[in-house]
Amino acid sequence: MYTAEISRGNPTCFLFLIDQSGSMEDPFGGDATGSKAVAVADAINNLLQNLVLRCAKAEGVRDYFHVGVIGYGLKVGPAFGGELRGMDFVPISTIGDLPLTVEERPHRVPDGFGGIIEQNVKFPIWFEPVAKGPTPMKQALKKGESIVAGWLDEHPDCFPPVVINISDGEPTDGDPLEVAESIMEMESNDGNVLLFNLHLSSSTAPRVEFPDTKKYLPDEFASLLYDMSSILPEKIREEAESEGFYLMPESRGFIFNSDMVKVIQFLDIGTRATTFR
Amino acid sequence: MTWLYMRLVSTTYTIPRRGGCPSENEDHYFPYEREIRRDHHSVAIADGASEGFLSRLWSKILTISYVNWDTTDVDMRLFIDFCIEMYEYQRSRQLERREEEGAPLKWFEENLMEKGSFSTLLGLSFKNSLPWGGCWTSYSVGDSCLFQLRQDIIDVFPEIDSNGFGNSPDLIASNPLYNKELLDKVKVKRGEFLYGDRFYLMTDAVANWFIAQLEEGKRPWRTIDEYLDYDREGLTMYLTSLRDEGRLKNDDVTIARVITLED
Repeated sequence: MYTAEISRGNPTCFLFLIDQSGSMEDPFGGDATGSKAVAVADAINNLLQNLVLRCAKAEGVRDYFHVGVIGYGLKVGPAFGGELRGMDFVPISTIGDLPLTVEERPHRVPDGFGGIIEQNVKFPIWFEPVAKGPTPMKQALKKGESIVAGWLDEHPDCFPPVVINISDGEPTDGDPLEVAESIMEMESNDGNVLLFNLHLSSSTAPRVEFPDTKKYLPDEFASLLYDMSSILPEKIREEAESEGFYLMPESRGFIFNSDMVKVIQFLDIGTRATTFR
Repeated sequence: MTWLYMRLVSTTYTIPRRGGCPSENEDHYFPYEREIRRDHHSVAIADGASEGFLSRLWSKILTISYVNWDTTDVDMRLFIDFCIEMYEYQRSRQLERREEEGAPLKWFEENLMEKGSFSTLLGLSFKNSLPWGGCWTSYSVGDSCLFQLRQDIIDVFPEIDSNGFGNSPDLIASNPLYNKELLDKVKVKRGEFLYGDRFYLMTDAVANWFIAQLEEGKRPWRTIDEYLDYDREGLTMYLTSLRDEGRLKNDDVTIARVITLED
């Protein structure tokens, strides 16, 4: 299980469910310099960029991945902007071709002599920060379930889809556990769909990374997200361990009270599932 | 002093990974000719990194430059600087062509070109200094492997077992910023050869299978020789079946066999 090769003939998909509720306007972990919504938008744009770069060859971008971003706040639906507006899953080559805009941002690189220099690199933007309304997480999961089910009908042998839910608060539309379980029960011939959860920091409670027990989680909501998270397959566990995380065989794809560095690391680990061909 | 001359007879074979086409094969071997007659006799193989951008160009530059460098005593720093210069020239030509065609680089092409390309390199040079053979030198960065066969005894360079192949081999970068510790990663081995010795250069996937066979006490060179000499299509079918059985990683495969002969 979780060994299917990802190729143009057998692509896989990533689906991101992004909390766009009003509380995402709050600063990240007490840091007053930027809101959680801005930080998450940056992280998603950074991840999309990395996915495009991983698939880009001299002759063009190879469609190893299809990616969807669903926002939930005032409304629930596809969150891409510009020409991708309204699209559920988008081939990675189309994502590469159609950013909303391309900014220049400084990027720190080694100078070859042990130091670091700043270079300007292109930073494409597909997804803009939004923070308004309640937290209809259950509806977002239902939407995700239906999109992933459609994908699996068309790609029964794919590396199982990875769904990553990023939120800072409690659902306002009822208990989402049943829908989450239903997502985790869906499967391709290579294994069950993987659902990971990322809770964003807004309190002083200690961070919990890839737990294998609910014992150290501070509240009912954290326990709910734990229950909504898949046990990491061996390959992803190895990726997480190589990033310095300490994992157990039953560790789940869940980080509670995450900071921005962990958000980026988590997204990278969750989408680095296997080597593609 | 006729013994000062020798012939190298090379037989090469390469296929892309399953699902890829020949133009996407990022392995490269040089020289192309079957019989090599030069003052110095060098061959090289390189495996361009899958996640690089112009990996095919970079592996080609490394192998051709190694053979044309034409010595058993390579100053790796000078050699890499030369290759980077060649790469930069080729890259600027590509950029000019794109401008002429009215197709400017897309954002991801710019970012990837800035980062550069990556590849392994395995070079092998012979010097026939004795009536019955001579000495060889091999330089290696990464996990492409060299096997020297005399009768039924085989030596492997770099020393590696079948569990030692991973997804992050040492690589030579076309961007000097990523070559900071490169010289520490260069492995060098010198040895002797007798006329008739066979040398096999292999990129990682097939080298991994080959070493696993050796560990099981088998003689995989016999399989390779038979296919290379008599049935190249059969070799493709054989490798495909190994891939299907999960015994061969689905990666580009290149095998170069070099036989040293007295001229």
